[in-house]
Amino acid sequence: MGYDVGVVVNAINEVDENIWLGDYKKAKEIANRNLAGIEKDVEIYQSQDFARDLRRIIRESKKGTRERKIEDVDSWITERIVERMKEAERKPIDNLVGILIIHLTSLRDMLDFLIESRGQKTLENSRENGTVREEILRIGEKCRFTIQSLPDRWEVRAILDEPVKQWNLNELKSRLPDFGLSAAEASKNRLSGTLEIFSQELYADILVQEKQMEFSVRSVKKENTEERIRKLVETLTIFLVT
Amino acid sequence: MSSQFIVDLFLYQRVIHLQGMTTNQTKQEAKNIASNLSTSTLHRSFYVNPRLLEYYNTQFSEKQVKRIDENFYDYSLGTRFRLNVPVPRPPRRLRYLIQKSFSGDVSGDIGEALFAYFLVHEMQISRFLIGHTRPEKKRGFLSPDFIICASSPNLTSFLQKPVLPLPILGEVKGFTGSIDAGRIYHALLQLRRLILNQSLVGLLFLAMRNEARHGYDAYVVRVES
Repeated sequence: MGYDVGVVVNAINEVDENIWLGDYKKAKEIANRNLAGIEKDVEIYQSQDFARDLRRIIRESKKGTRERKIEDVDSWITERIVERMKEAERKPIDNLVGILIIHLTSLRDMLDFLIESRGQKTLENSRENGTVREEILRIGEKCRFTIQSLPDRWEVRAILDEPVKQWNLNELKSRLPDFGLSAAEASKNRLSGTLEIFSQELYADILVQEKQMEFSVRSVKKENTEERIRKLVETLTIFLVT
Repeated sequence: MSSQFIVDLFLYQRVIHLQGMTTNQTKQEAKNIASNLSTSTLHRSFYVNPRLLEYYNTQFSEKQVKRIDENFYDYSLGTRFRLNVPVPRPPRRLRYLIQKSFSGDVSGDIGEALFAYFLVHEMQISRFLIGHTRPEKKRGFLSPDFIICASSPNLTSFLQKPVLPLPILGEVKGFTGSIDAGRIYHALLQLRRLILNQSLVGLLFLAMRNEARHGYDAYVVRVES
């Protein structure tokens, strides 16, 4: 079976990334698209049965080893695994592909449930418990982001549509005084970095990694604070990615 | 700003070949690794940004321990915490998106986050090509902790192997106290079952707290069939 394991690993990570953002619809879309491709190839799709089969063999092999007077249980189980692979004409990599497909399918099923249950929640519920994200917002054609209001801070998460060549943390740092903000020393390498910014009323730590950004903002809560934070995030993002 | 901590990265002196090894031989190999770690070659030292480590903790670690950047001192001492799990069970045939179990010890958590940090920052491997499969292992599947679907010049140079067959399988063990050969044996056994007689490469990543330097020592053992 000549299947690129990286394709399904990448798909799982993309789904996870969108769950992290709170964009369940996009996450489900990615899961469905990838699973549709996998389902077309019967041999690849059935590798999940093989993974489940190996799990069953390992579980069954662990039982009754004393009655069978097996001294070296670990080797005995390994032999059962090898035997099953030969019988099924499968390789260790097929088991790994199967496990990853099971994982992706499981994510999709849970996303179905979450989308449905989220639809039953009122905005009041979500504001009360502070666990459900606000709507998915956009900054031009550059990225999607969400703002979550927690008791002690605002958590802003964003995903870029396209990966950046370089995060402009230093450019951002130089522009901060225009907004009455200062920055601590930035820590940065090729595709990731962190920056702490502050003023008399606000503290935020910013983390960037490949396509993701995370802003954790602490500020005295006033009537218009969330709106101010939203505008600040939009402005800072533009400096970071252009 | 969160202060950074140092990690000394070592490559274990020998490649471990598992094919044909009996259980006793594997156990002996685990003991050899535990007692000979000090003879490993120091590859380099690097500073870890705890804020980024926390990012990999949320992305890749199996155990749900939050804010290892803010609580690094306590966590590094091995302080035990209770896992905050949702009270209601998920609906039938469904499971929570993050299915994590937790013994109370955070060393494994730091180990897994540190392994992801090592791969992305030191070996320059894309985060999107690193699969975290430890939750599947906990569900009884024959699975490694990590499946790495890309190589890099940094990784081939570090492992002293010009071509690395993909995927690479990763097993991670974290230690806050003394090193435990029994846990190394379990990691080797898992890799033995996963690699069998195939031309796959396994990485055994051992993260040990270095009390004197207020950091971690990371040992990488290359495992083949």
